[in-house]
Amino acid sequence: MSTNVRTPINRKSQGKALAIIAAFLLLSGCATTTNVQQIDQLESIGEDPRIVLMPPDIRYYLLTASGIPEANAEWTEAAKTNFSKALLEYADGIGANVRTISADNMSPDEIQYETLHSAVGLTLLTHHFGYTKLPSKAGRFDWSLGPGVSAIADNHEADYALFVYYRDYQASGGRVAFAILAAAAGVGVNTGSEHGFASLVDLKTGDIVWFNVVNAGVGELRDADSAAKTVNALFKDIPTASGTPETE
Amino acid sequence: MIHRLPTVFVLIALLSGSTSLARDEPLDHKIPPGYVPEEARDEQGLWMELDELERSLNKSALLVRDPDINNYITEIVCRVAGDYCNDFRVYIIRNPGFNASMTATGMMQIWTGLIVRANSTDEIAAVVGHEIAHYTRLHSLQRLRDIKAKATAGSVFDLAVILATGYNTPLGQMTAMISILSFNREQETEADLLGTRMLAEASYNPHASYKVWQRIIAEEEAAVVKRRKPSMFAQTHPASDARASYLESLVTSTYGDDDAEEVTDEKLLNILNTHYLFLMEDQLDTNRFGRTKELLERHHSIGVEPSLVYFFYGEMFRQRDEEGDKQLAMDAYRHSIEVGTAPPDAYKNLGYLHLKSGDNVAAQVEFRKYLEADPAADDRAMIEFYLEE
Repeated sequence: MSTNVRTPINRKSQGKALAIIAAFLLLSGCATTTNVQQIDQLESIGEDPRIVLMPPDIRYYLLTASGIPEANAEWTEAAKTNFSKALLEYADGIGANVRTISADNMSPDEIQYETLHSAVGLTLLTHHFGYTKLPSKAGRFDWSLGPGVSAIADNHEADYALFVYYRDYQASGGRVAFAILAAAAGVGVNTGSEHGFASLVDLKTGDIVWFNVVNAGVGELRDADSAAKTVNALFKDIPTASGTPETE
Repeated sequence: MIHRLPTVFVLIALLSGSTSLARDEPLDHKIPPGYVPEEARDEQGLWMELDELERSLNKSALLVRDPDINNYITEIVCRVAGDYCNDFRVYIIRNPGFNASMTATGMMQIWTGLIVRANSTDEIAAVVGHEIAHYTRLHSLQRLRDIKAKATAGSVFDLAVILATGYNTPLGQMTAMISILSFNREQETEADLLGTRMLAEASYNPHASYKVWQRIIAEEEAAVVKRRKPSMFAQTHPASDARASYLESLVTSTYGDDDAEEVTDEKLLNILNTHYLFLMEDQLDTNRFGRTKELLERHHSIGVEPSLVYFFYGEMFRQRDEEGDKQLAMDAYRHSIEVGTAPPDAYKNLGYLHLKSGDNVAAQVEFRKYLEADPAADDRAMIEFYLEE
């Protein structure tokens, strides 16, 4: 297994500049994805590396007038369904063997690993991609969910697990009106945001072997077409059995 | 600026609710048993988040899974809930604090700290009734809507002040906060009142509703380190003494004086006696000696197995380790051994105290008794090492 980190964000000379650009893009609401890839090719004891998609941790909120988020069940449900469907189609297209498991069919440990993944991913956003780098990591990308995840491999006969975290805050009409009033008063307010990430985890070691971030502008999952676009953007560099797919 | 002040007062008046107990409408359940939200978008979202929370709570390491304790509490919940029984899932959480909670979806949490603080099953039922009333009155949803509406009104007000005067003040949001808390306290009072009625309807002693608060006050008085009075911006609940007093006058005027005979509560005692070690270990670990002592005194008076209570006196003094505590701890351990079947640790910890005093012979006597009482002890090898010396 190769351990090179190919993303330029880890090269010290360019790291800072890119981080600033990334932050700028994020603030200006344009699309930006940030990718870390630890392996070139998936491995399996069998012929075909088997990937299990953990129930995606996706949630949609309505950002109400005062800025208090209100979870939206209908949007969340649609987003989860569209995402899983688009991902399976994408996997089919690149010849990857991906299976889904139902949220109702998870063991206690699997639920804990979902939560752990979200925590690790958010930590990564802050301490690997964000400004507060951890000095002891020295830019290395060596994050892991721990070898305990091998239980997932046994339960679902898989070599890798794909974890997905996504949060979307949509401004309500009231919020937009409030923002206009606030702008008139010279106050800037948040009018919605979206962020998410996906990790491919090697179930032998628990190591995150591939990680990708989605930011503003990419992740509309409530309708099938944009969900497909989001999935394409999110997974375009994911390694497969035959190596990383060619970027279109 | 002066001429703008009336606006502020209008806003404050608009935002603050009345905190009096006088009611226009009769206090009753707002939803039928088996309620599920249909139309409201915010309510569906709330349920979705709570369902996810419940999924992870189900897997929590802090969950007490012992069937005895679960059956005991579930039985209370169902009796108080009546027709609503099937709406609730009860989760007993290992936490020595005095607390219970209920979500809009019927996920009920009971902390073990409540079980060790109750003098009777009725007192646990009183807290359960309060939580069920939150559920049947749709309090979580109302609170959510109240917060949204007031936060918006407050923020818009603040913006309007900036636009009109150029000054940025947090006045609107602060007023909103105070008003939200006042609404919260009103809900608590509502739950106290409806909960007490449910308690009485389920043939529990309604006087338990204020007694449970009197216990909390007594414990607070015994505390070495008192709780700080919450600030104006943190008073989510009415104060314990206020609750005890309005509940006492309500219950006494509705149901008459408490003429119930003091009888031994076998069910509660059975739970305490069987699970005392882990329940009180958590309390002991809070290092709140005044409170722990008050609880031990209470347990002794309601008839908890004395050898267990004395054992924890021993543990308490041994941990505090102030002047004279070592002797008090040794006496308590000995007492625990004399009056019944002491936990094996009583011998061991007594042995260690002897060892500390340099009396190796006496220590070894106790260590032998420890291994006799608990041949499969985890620390057997360690104890045998002391025995060989």
